[in-house]
Amino acid sequence: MGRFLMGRVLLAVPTLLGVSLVVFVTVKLIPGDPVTALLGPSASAASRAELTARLGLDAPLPEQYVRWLGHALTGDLGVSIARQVPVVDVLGAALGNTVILALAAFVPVVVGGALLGAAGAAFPGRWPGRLCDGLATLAISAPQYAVALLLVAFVAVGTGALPPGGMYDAADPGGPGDLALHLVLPATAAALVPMGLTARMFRTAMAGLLDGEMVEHLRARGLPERVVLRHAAHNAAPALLTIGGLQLAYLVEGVVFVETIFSWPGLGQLLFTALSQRDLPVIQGGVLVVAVAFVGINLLVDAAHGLIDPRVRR
Amino acid sequence: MNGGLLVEDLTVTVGGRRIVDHVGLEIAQGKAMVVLGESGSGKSVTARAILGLLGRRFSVSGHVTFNGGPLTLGRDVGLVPQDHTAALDPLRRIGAQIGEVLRHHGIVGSRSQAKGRALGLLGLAGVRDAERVARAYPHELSGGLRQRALIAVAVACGPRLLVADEPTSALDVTVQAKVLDLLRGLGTTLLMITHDIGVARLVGDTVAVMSEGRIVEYGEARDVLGLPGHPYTRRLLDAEPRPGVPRGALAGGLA
Amino acid sequence: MRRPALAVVTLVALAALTAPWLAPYGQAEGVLRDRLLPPGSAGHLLGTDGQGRDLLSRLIWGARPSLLGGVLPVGFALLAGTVLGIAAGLGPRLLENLIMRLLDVLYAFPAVLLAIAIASALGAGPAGTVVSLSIVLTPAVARVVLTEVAAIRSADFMEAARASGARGHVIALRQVVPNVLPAALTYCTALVGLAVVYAAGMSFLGLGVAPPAAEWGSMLNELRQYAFSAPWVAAVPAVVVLVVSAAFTALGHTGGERSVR
Repeated sequence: MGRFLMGRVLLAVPTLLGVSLVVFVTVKLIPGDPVTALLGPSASAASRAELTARLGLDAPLPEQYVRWLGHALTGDLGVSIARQVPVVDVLGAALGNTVILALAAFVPVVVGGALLGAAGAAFPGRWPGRLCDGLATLAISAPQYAVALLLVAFVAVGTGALPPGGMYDAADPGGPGDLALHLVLPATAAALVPMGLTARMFRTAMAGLLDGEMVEHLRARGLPERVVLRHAAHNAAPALLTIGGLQLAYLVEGVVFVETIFSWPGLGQLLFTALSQRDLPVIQGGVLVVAVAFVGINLLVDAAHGLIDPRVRR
Repeated sequence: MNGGLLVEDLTVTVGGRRIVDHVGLEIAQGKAMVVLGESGSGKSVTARAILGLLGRRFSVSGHVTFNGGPLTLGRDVGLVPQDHTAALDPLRRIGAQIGEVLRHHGIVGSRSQAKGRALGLLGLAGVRDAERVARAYPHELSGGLRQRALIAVAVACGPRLLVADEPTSALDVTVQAKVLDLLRGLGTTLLMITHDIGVARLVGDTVAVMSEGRIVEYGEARDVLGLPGHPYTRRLLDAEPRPGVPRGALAGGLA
Repeated sequence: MRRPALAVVTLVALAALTAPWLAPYGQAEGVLRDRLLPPGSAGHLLGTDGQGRDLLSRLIWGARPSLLGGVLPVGFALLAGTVLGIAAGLGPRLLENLIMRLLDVLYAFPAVLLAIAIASALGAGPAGTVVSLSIVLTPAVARVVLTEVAAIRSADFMEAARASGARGHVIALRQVVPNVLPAALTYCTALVGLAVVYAAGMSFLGLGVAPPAAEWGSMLNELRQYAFSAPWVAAVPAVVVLVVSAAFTALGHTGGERSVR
């Protein structure tokens, strides 16, 4: 198991290097000059040159990349141009808020998806199965931005029962209860597509098992149906884990839209603002953090997979 | 007849198509019957219908009794499947899978009892290194050992009937004969499904030849295989490899 | 489910083709006095936006950039993915490893995030969106193609062709392309729906078509501010995107096409 994990970690290293290179190059391509953004267009040539040197922008690109990567590895992602505070601080707060939203949405994704998928597989062609299959298809085709907008227009504004945006009540910020109330709509909007995808993929995994020779043989052993289902669920668990990991990724990208519409102070909104302000260090850091988190999630999924399935562990 | 398996008027239809057509079989207690046929002849479906394992898509009619009463899966009858890789739960150790069957049928009360019993059953199935095999996951074993583990599962509750569906077709040639000897030597009533005439000769007291869902020939093994009456059986026999050809060729002989 | 879905997609495609004749009004044509009329108003079947422009007309005009925004990237991804997949499948080991690493790296990003980063690097506007989506969709197509190439790589005729030198490689290529294209085309057809949704999402964030030209995503963004005062008007483009997206999903049967990431 230890060797299996080490192997996975080592395999992730070139991927992470590639990711950092892509982030660096992409952000370097973004039009607009950070020096102008900082000093304004009327600055003197001397002060421009001085700042360019101070930001290290006069060095050759490979050197800039190595320096940036070295700093990034020690947790230094530079200073936000627009806010003049360390990028790490800006990202930290936003990341925390995004994780809250993503986790809130992750629960219905996994639970709802597994239930819809399992029901679809257990009752194929009969009404409970068809209903669940239909719901999954609907959920898959519900783009986050469209759903979010409809939720704001008809649930938040229409009924007034739930807040249309923000994390806490602006006038009277409350505790966890207030937060939960503000989470309902954005989490719903973010959860629908990944939930539908989870349902579809889990249905395929379960259907394959329930039609398979293992389940037939378990029945031939005379085991009660609930024990048979337990074996099937155990065997489907690695699939659910892999699917869940994939969907966590999908949640994060959906969150960009959801956060924009619901004014949720997270990474998505931050990145979007940074893009419009040409705040390069924040964009660089934000995209890097998300991509590294991705690779990390995949590693965790692999590790958990190894724990469940002895065949993977070698 | 009081002893043994009696199948009367078994018919299976799926999607409006009749794939098993009024099949009747009779196996005296302790005897072995081989159902012989090419793939698609309905022999496997017949075995599953006898065990009551067919899904909702199939509609089944007819009577199956054993010693005059109904069959309880796992307790009265064990199934030895064709695909030893697919039939075991890949995530549970062999010993645990045998123990689970023992506990659910009330043969043993505790896990430790189940463990001892499982080792004995593996020994009965011809496993020499029972301790190691009981601790192993299915993927860690050879095909022959997996099939022996499945035989241990099948005989765990001391069934009087075994149904074996092509039990050797997924095994190496060298292991095939040993597994057949083992199945024959367990002393239960045996219903074996195969496409392999060599297997039928080796195992069957009686032979039923199936084609297109019907039994076309039925009788003592030496009569059916020695003096085939039905043209279909004669064609099967003509396709059999000649003596002198290594036995291994038999496995693929009719495929 | 397939027949209504096909009807929706056909209708949208027809609207895109015949917008100048079909649309009752021009896409930028508005009367401020008639702003924010609710759907069902006289002369404006689906109502009007904040500048008094007819929503139905804008949706019809918007069908063209909205569909193209999905179809073009898929087309480019089909081209690039096929080239990469065949190069990885038939080329030397080193090239295969290099391409696989590259795909792994691209897979490590959330698709939309990568598309946003690339699009903003290339500058806003339809071209940047198309290029960025093409890049994001390419790895998935390349993987499909590579799987197909790997399946026939060891066939006898392939071994023979490759063994016979440079001319053999041309022969091999001629054998591979027709074998690989059907799978790649099927996959890409199913990908179009997803790409349309992504493209609208990018315009929603302000990265696509510039106003006053109509596009579904940018309409969503413009009307967002009226969710409080005129929810029915704000809902119109959202519902259209939902219905079209559902139609594409129903047509793309398996849903496996979503495994882009």
